[in-house]
Amino acid sequence: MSWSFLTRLLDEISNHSTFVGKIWLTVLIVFRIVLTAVGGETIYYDEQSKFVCNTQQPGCENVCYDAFAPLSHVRFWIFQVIMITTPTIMYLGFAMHKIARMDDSEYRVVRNRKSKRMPIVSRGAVRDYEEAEDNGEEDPMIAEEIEPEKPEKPDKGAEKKHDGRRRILRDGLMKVYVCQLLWRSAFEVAFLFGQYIMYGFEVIPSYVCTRSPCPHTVDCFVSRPTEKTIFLLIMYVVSFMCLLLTLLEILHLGIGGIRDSFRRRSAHNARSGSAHPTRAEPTAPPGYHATMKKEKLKRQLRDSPMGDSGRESFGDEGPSSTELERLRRHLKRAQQHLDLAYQIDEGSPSRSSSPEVNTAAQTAAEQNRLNFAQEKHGETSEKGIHA
Amino acid sequence: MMSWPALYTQLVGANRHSTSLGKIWLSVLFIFRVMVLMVAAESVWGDEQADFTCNTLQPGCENVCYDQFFPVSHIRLWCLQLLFVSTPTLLIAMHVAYRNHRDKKRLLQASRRAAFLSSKSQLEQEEELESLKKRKLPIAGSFWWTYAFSILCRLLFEGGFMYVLYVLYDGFRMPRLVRCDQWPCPNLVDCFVSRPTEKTVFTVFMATASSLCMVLNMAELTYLIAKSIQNTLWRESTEIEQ
Repeated sequence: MSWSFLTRLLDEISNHSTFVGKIWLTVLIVFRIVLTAVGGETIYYDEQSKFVCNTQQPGCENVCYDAFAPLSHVRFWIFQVIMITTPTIMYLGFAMHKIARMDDSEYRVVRNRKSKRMPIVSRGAVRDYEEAEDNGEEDPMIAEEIEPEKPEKPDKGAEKKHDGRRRILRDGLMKVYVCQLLWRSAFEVAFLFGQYIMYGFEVIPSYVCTRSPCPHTVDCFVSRPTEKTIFLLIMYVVSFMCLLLTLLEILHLGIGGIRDSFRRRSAHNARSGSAHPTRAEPTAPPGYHATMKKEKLKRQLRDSPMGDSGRESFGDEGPSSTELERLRRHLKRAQQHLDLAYQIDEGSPSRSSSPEVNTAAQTAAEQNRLNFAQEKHGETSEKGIHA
Repeated sequence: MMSWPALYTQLVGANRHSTSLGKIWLSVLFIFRVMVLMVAAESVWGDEQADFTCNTLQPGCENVCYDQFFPVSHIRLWCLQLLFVSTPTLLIAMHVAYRNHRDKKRLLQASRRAAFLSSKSQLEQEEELESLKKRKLPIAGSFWWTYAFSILCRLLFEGGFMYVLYVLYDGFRMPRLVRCDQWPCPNLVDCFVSRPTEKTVFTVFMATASSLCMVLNMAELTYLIAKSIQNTLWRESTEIEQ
């Protein structure tokens, strides 16, 4: 019950993490929070009442216990969990804020200019988020109030998925995500080190104390030392595991990024002909690419608008004018379909699935046309849709 | 034990109409203060009287000395502080509810009139009511004043309680040994507090969290005032142009 404030937020975080991030989250909740709450209660409840010193001097036990345990294990672990989840929670707040703003500006631009900007495919997702945003789902703490209304609209909550490496990349959140991961590892290392300095690897069964008012050197005896030692070692292992998972996630993002850039480069080389710069910056915010895209589009007559906003290069070959014409017609038709679909779909509840699937469901016809157009320009754009 | 989840559900409803800083403040409040209080601090202070030992066999001396040095326990002070600090947000919730009620009445009247003229379906009406409930009120006009007043109240309560804690316990440190000679203690008696270091750590942590919340509140107030000045200037400039 008392941990529910944190666990509610952590549930929301799982919608904004990569696959490894979700594993980390599960390990955190199951192994650390549950262990601390349950084990802490049962093992440490009598840590002071059963801390017995070999003296009748009143007050000696109090001061010796205080010298033995300035900060109890359980409290240390609670601080540790809170501090380690703090960077992730801050990322969540930032991501939701950015997504809300990004969807707002993208939607407005698309509406006003009717440009042939790329992610026409994900405009459906943009609309969904706008609707969801209007319902006040900007903040994880706010998401709570959606719960009582859940039976009426079961899918609004599920539309808010921004998980997976590619999605995070596309939304321009990669830099902040990696930064958050680095902070998390730093805190983890710091706490592991602190735990070693303060507690070592073992809970000694007997503690020698010389503080006043103890009359002389006094032996004090700790309650359940073996059980506490085992628990301490388990928490060490779990902390290491979480640290490893965080480092693994950083590696996974790094390798994925390298792999993507290689793929892009090989695709670029395969179709190479033009001297067009590849978009090799996965971490640039969507706004940057929107501006770049507009300029490129003006220059290249929208010959390859099918790039993913964060990752893909614009098409390389210059298509013939007939193809251009066909493409333009397709895009125009797709846009009309989308507008129509949005108007019809304003009030009706959408199916409970991820935004990508929702988009596909709502704009199936335009997708077909777009796919056709995209296939003509290679597979890189396909990846953008399926990411 | 306080029913914090009940408070949480109340606050989260009003949170929708807050600025981003307000939302951060609510998260900090619940994670760093309420949760730490519930999960950790209560177990540290749990045995504060049972383990308060005095160097005397005189019955009643320990009770009296404990009472002298701890008139109000830290835990109770923090609970009260969190309660008082959360209360101004209810002002915002009340204002929003009042505004919604008024707009809903107006909407119903208008739609009743319109229903005679145009064929506005029942469904459309319900949709409008729903959107009314779900919309986010812009922080302007009388709502701005309510909001600013609530932030001011929050600041005052935070500062007030921190000051009271500081004065009552002579700083944020928990002493290990206190000397007491209240009747019926026979003479000056040494009394030993339980877990003084841990309590000091928690007192400092809660004081830090409280200061962080105060900083957030001040930033939010400054932002509101700045935004309102900016809006007034912009409005004046557009009026001058016209």
